[in-house]
Parts: sequence; C-alpha cells; structure tokens
Amino acid sequence: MAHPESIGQFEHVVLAAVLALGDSAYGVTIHTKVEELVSPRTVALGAVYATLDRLEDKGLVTSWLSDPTPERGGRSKRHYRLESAGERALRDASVAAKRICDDVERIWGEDVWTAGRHWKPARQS
Amino acid sequence: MDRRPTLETRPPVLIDAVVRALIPPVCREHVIGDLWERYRSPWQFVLDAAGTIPFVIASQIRRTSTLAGVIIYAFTLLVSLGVGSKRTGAAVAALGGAMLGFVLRDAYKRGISVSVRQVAVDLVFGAGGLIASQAMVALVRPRQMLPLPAYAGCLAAFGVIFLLRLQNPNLGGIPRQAMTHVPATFEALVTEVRLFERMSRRGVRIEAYTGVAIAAFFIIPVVSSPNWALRIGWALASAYGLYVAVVVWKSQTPPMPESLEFDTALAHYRGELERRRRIIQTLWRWYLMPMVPGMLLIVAGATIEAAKRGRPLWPALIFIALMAGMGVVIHLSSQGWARKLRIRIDALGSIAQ
Repeated sequence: MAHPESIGQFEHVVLAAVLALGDSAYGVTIHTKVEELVSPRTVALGAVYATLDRLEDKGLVTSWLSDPTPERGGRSKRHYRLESAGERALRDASVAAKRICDDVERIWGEDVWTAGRHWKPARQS
Repeated sequence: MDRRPTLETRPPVLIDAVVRALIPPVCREHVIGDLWERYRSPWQFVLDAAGTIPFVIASQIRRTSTLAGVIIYAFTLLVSLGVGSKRTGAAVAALGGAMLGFVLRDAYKRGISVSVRQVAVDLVFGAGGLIASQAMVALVRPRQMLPLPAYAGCLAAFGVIFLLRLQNPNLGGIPRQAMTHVPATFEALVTEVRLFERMSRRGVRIEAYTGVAIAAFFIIPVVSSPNWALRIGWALASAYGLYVAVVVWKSQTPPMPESLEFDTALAHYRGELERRRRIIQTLWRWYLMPMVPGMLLIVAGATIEAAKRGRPLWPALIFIALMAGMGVVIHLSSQGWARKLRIRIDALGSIAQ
C-alpha cells in the first residue's frame, strides 16, 4: 500500500469540512464549515481555496464544476469530494488528534473541554 | 440567511470587472461566483476580494511555477547581465522584473504552453517584465539603467530560456493540476499521446544537438589551452557533450502504433511515461555525475594558471560552488518532474481500473 499522505492542521480541518458537507461541499459552504470548526478564529476564504488546491494536487480530493446558476451571476460552483487517499489521510490525522485530546484530558481533566474561555493553563509564564 | 444576490445586491459593474480581471482565469469562474454569493455591500465585496485574491494568485503560482525553473532562468539572466554588473540595482530590478513576468504569465495562462508559439509568448511576458523594471529604474535613477551591451546579453539569455522551456515543459509549461486531469475519450487520449511524443522528440533533438554543439565548441580550448589539466578537462567536457547526445538520442520515445484499442493504447502510454520517469529520476547518475571529472580538471588547470600569474584563487571556488548549486537545482527539478509524471501515471491508472 502507498504511504499515506501527511497533512497539516488546516488541511485536516478542510478535509473534515468536505467530509461533513458531502454533496454540498463548495467554496462558500466549506469556508463557513471551516470557520465553524475553528471558532472563534476567523479564516480567509482565500486560505480555504489555497488549501483545497493543495489537497487536490496531493490527490486527496477531486473537484468538478457544476452547471451555472443565476443566483451567482451565471457562474458555476466548484464542488469537492474526498478521494480514498483523502479519507485515509483524514482518518490518520483524526486518530492522532484523538490521542492528543485523550492525553490532554487525562492530565488536565474533563473540565478542559467545558471551562471554555474561563479555563487557565496550569503553568503560566 | 438568504445571500442570493438580486438586481439590487450585485456588485458594481466596474468593481466586479476589476476583481474578475485580477483572478487567474483557471479559477475565475468559481471564485467570482463564490464572491457574488457572499455579496452584501460594495465595501464588503472589495474587502472579501482583497482577502481572497492574493491567496488565489499565490496558489496558482505554486501550481504553475517551479522554484528550480525560476532559479535556472535567474541564473541564465544573471550570467548575461554580467556585462552590467557595475549597476547592481538595475541588474537586480531586471532579474526581478523578468522573473515576475514569467511567474505571472504562467499563473494567468489557460492550460499548458508547449508549442513554439506559446513558449515564445511566455518569453514576451518575461521580456516585458524586464523592460518594465528598467522603465521604473529610468524614472527613479536614469543613470543606473542597464547599458546597451547588457540588453544584447539578455537577448542571448532569453534564447537559452526559450530552448530550456521547449526542452523541459516542467519549467513552467505544464501546471500541476493538468497532471490529474484524465482524458474522457479515446480521441483525447490519442491527442495527449501524440503531444507527449512530439514534446519528447523535440526535447531529445534540442538536448542532442546542444550536446554535439558543445562537443564541437570545446575542441577549441583542447588545442589552445596552456596546460595539460586544462586540455584533458576540455577533452573530457567535449566527450561528455557527445556522450549526452548519444544517450539522449537512444532514449527517444517510439511512436504509438495506430491500430491499438483504448486499453492497449493506455497501457502503452503509461509504460512510456514510466520509462521517461525512470530516465528523469536517475538524471543525476547518467547526466550530472559524468560532467564532474572534466569540470574538476578544468578548474584545476585554471587554478594552476592563476597561481603561475599570481592571480587570486577564489574565482575557482566560486565557480565550483555555482556549478554544484546548479547541479543541485537540476537534480531537484528532475525529481519534481518525475513526481509529476508519477501523478500522471497514477491518474491514468485510475481509468484503467
């Protein structure tokens, strides 16, 4: 089996957004989903395009243009779909992230997820 | 919230036209559509576009240009600008302008540029960037403009870049995304195979003729050099030129037979791509390494002469460093091209499955 493609943190988020959106994954919806996932951070739409291009070049997603629609001034949407290599990469990255979360939770306790902005790190510089 | 634009909520025509013009053509359709869909006010549209377009251009540059290509072009121009080296600012501006011209041309063109006419147009953009840079120098510091002989050098450099781009389409001619596109019909496949064969034959011819020309040209220093190290070095360099010409000529792509069906044609094409990929991937072994002995002897001979005449030895070290650097760049470029071919072979393999 080919070596699974390694992905960065933002690529991980974008792949997760494409997976969550299914057939309705295109620029605007992917950007909205990504902002939802990384909230309260904001993300530039351009950063999402650049990442989608990179994922496509790595063979992790494929894209195609839909038929033009009048509500977008007669322009097409570029839809994205996860490829099997993308699914593998997303699964591997998510497993690693889960392990990190489990370790963090084991050391800092479950409060780390619920304390929100009131939570303070144990060591402060 | 319904964000669909109505007649009242579409961006102003002029702003829309400017934004459309700034987005590279290959992604214009969907990016402008997405920006329209998010439209709320002219200001929001402008800010949205300003935050999107730089990423889109940068991504397109990443897909269409290679660092190795830019370094090779810059090096070629730098050598030609040696004439105007006393005007460093103007030379740097000329290099930057020409590189910007090439990179933006590659990012903003539609499809691939592999024909002689398309490559010539690419060069016009590089030259345009260089001339624009000198126009700016003329406005700021007119006395610092490049001297006329430097332009003659640039002309020669653009000739070399023209041949390099024809010989190796990886240096900006073929964007990354073109490698994952798969031919939908048998006719499209045959067209691609014939284009590949033409490109390969042309690349082989340029490389082989250059090898023969180098071999012939290097005979002059073989007879006129003042010491044996130089003579043997130039003789080895001349033999290297012939050796490359023969090896490259032998590696020519045979034309695909006319009678093949889709599956067999696809298998033939993938086989040829794989053969080409192996040749390119091992370029360091058959192309770069055999160059080393001749080069070292030439440097040694030149160093002996310099020592006899009491001249400094550091130019020899700089020459070795430059040649080693170019060797690394050529190696990295070939590995990048081999990776792209791998992607193409895999993409074609997905049809076969």
